[in-house]
Amino acid sequence: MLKSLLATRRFILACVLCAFSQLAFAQNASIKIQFWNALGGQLAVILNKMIKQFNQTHPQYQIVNDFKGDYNSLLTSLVAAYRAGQPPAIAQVYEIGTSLMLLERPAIVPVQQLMQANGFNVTPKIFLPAIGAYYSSHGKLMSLPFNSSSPVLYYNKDEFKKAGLTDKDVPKTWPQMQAVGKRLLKAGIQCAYTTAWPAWIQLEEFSAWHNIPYATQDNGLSGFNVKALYDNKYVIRQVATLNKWQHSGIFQYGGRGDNPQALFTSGHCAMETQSSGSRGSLMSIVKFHMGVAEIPYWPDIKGAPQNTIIGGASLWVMQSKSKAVYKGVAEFFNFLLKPATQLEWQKATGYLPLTMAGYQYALKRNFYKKNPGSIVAVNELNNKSPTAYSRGIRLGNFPQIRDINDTALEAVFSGQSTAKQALSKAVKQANKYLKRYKEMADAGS
Amino acid sequence: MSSIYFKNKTLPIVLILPQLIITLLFFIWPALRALWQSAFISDPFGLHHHFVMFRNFTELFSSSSYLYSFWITFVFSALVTFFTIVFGLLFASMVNCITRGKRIYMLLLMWPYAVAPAVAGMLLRFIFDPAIGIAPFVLRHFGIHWDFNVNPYQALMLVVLIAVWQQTSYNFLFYMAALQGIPKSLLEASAIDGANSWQRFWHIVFPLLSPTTFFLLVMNMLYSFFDTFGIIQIVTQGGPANATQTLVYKVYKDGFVGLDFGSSAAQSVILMAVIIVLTIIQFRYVEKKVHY
Repeated sequence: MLKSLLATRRFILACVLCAFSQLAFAQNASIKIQFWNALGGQLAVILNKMIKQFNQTHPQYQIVNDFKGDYNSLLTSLVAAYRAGQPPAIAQVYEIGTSLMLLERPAIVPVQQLMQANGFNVTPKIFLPAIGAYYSSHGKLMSLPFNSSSPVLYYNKDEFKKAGLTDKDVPKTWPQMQAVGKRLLKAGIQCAYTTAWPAWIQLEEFSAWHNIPYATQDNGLSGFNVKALYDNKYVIRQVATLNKWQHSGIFQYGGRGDNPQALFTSGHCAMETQSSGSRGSLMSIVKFHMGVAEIPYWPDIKGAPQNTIIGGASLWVMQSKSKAVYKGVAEFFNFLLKPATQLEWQKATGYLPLTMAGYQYALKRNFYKKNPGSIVAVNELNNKSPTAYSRGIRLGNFPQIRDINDTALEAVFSGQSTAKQALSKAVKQANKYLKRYKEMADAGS
Repeated sequence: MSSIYFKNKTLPIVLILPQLIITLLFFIWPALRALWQSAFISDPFGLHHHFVMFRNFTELFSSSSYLYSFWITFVFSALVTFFTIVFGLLFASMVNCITRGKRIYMLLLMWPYAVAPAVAGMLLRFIFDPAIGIAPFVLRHFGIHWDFNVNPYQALMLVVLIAVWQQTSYNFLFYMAALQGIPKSLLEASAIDGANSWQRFWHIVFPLLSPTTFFLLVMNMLYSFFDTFGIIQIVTQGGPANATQTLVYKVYKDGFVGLDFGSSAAQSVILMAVIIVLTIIQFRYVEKKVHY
């Protein structure tokens, strides 16, 4: 009895194994390429559409959309997977992780090298200048820029109308913001202005937009021996001004990251500075007429406005995959860089065009004319040709430094310290982290 | 009672082996790894290692934000432990007195414990959201401007409130069981001797509950140290200006957001030491005052 049972079990096991190997064989027909990303919600829908299109036109490959949560969790998973010897072929890493990925050179395949090995001529020069430079090292493209954004000013047209204001009154400068804010408050609007991503927009982008050095070594783009410089009088004034406005009701602090979004979408605040990449989702959420404008500047700072820098993420290719997989990755990247694909991506999301060709293509098809908000971030980015301090900011331990800066801003807005105290403390703390990073980079394995 | 022992030495070893392996694999081994890691500054991918001896520790103790985390953790766990014990005991004694609908009350009071911390955090975050929440709307009528995104005290209060709301159920449950174990004869005897209800509670019930109180003291402290991570992550992410950044949350932030494994490991070693010391103190000194 037992023997026959065992025999049956063995038979079933054999059948299952057989079925599995059949399955594996069937799938071997197309090469699977894991694509780890942090694009959820509406972005995932668009990404899926793009991947489906690629898989259908390239049946020998199968790109697998693997959503890993937010950028933080993705990077943590990537570290764990790398240590376990199972990294994905493609991983999306946010811009503040760029310095880290450059340090982990043995773990990655530079994108330029990969593309050229597979017959695609991709260099930093084909991209918009600010985008290509940011993801390059020694003139070579290291990762594929994918979703790049810049901050813009979104405003509630209905509330502007209520206060007797038109599109022409949207503040171009920070002093104008105060005047417009007062009028909005008078008309019964509870809060004139809030900002998403406070440290990114009010410190990093603010510095580039006014051509103020953020850190030594060309904002960290030229080396690891970096010191933070953002405790200067202009940044201090900006933070102090926001704090002053908070007391008069013009500005309201709504937390970090995307948290302040609710203040704007609910109609509580009439204006919000937020990533251009949120345009698509904002348009589908808000019930009012929404306008998009350039972020304000201080007219008394020489050379302002300069140009904005990019946020967002890029795609990194990991080591230790087969040649066939790399060929597939190169094909996929080539597909992503096609002007038509980029136009789709811009249309649905509000992210920037990546290549010059993509920008021209969209221009020719009157995309920017038909979608007035979509050109704003492109204009900001191309406002002037980038200087050493407006090409981007690339720091080691950047996630911690951004956290330190958010903390400093909160210390100001909660009345615990002045803008000057908070920022000089933040710079001191940031310098400690930069020093740690340099030591690590120097150490080698 | 005669002691029982195994003649065969291998059998007991085999019997405790599974537990031993689990302890070694999931507790001792990671702890040793953390100790090892804390002596290095290293990159997340494990390609660069820089030996720094104790510098990760000295840097922590010279960092104001770390010392602030210590203080916040102390305040937070003291508040949570105190209020959960007070409310747990209060509700248990009250429910113990009533005769009708006892079960309904018990059920309702135990309910919050079944809610996952993340869900509890989300719920109360919505209720207290400065822009769309109902609580700030009500508070405005009392002249209180509620905005936990900016006000550090309100943020800490909110996190304490959620933790207390959840953990009170646990305390209630244990006090309820303990109260039912108190002999009626003692209470009746003291009542005959003329003790009023407060005296009966303070001189008889409370001392008899001391083993439970001691147990809950330890459990509540451990809870507020470790299990409140979910609430903090959902509601404040440690902000504003680190006002709700407990030691555990900082370990997570430096380790998993910042990917600074050296400092994060050093922090978890310190945390381990703190817990060991606190537990020793509690068992050495506080337990002496407990009547079993």
